[in-house]
Amino acid sequence: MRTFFIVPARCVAALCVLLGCALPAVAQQAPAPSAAADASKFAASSTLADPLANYYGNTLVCAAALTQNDLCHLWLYRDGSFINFDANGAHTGHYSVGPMRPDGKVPVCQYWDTVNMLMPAEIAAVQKMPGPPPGAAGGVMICENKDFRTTCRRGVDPATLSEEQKKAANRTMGERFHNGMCYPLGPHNVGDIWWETDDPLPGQAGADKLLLLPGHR
Amino acid sequence: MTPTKLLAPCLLALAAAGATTHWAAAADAKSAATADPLANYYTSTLICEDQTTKAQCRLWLNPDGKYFAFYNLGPQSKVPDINGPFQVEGREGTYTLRDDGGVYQLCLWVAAPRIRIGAEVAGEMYSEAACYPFAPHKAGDAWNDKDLVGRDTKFWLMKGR
Repeated sequence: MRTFFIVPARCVAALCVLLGCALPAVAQQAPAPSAAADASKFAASSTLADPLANYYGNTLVCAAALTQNDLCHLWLYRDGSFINFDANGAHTGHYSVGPMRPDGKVPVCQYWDTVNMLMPAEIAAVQKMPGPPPGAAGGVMICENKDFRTTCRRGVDPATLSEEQKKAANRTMGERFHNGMCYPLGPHNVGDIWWETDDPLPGQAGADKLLLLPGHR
Repeated sequence: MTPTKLLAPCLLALAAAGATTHWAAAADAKSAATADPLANYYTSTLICEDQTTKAQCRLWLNPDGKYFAFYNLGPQSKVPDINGPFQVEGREGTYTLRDDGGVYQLCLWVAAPRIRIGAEVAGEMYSEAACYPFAPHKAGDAWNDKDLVGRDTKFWLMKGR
């Protein structure tokens, strides 16, 4: 499923010799830094290296757009596994990586190992579970995966759904992630803070805030 | 007599000794597994709640000696930057179980790079590289105890992860 190659440093060096180190030369000739330039530079270097390299050993945090509270923390491991945790628990799982998009982002589809949402009844009784984002319309939310992209539609009238779609709409959060949720991860460095507007991330105001923290936290 | 025939008794004896050793090892492994005070933890999640701060922890103990701890510290007073503060935190490392005549201590070693997390600053359970009182439990148990700084803490051992 993974469509990129992890190339050891010695192979990169060998390829560099073969190619006459064309890639660094291209990078040096690049125009003034911009998001597009960064993306293309990243895309070029990613043909030789793992585009998720900066995520391994570090922590990707998703935060709500309006409150900016951190909602989820993700530890991606190089072996294709991950740990994802939030206020309601932690989950192990595996991920698959789709082909790099023209904007330099790679879609990462997460599959939780279990559908468990472990919470003692005493805590669940007093803990406010996250509800729909402010301004969300009524109806149900349905998420569908196609070509490494998850599209979630909110406020869908259940009467318009097929039986199969109704089952998908009734999934718990655990079931949704067990069946796979794909997120595009862009070229970022440790310490970066950025805003993401891709489906299905937006939870508040059509955007999510993301932080790439050093180390596992 | 051929060399093979000469060696046959020795080979049989070695095979028997090997088999005995194998059986003994299997028996030891079985009794060790039965007696492992952590056995019920390997496929469960230990959840705790500090009754003073209401911070929650989740602890995974893996059979390979690795542990993972996760925290929900509740909403923070300011918007987090790269250094925090975070509502949710986690850390990982290795552990050993000290057995002092049936009195157990769970000793945690935090993996590098060691980051001082908010849970550690707040003195929450299992957040520091330290030895913590430990008692064997079975999945479904709930109990009360004190944390290292004397705060009342509630624990649950829940089946699954």
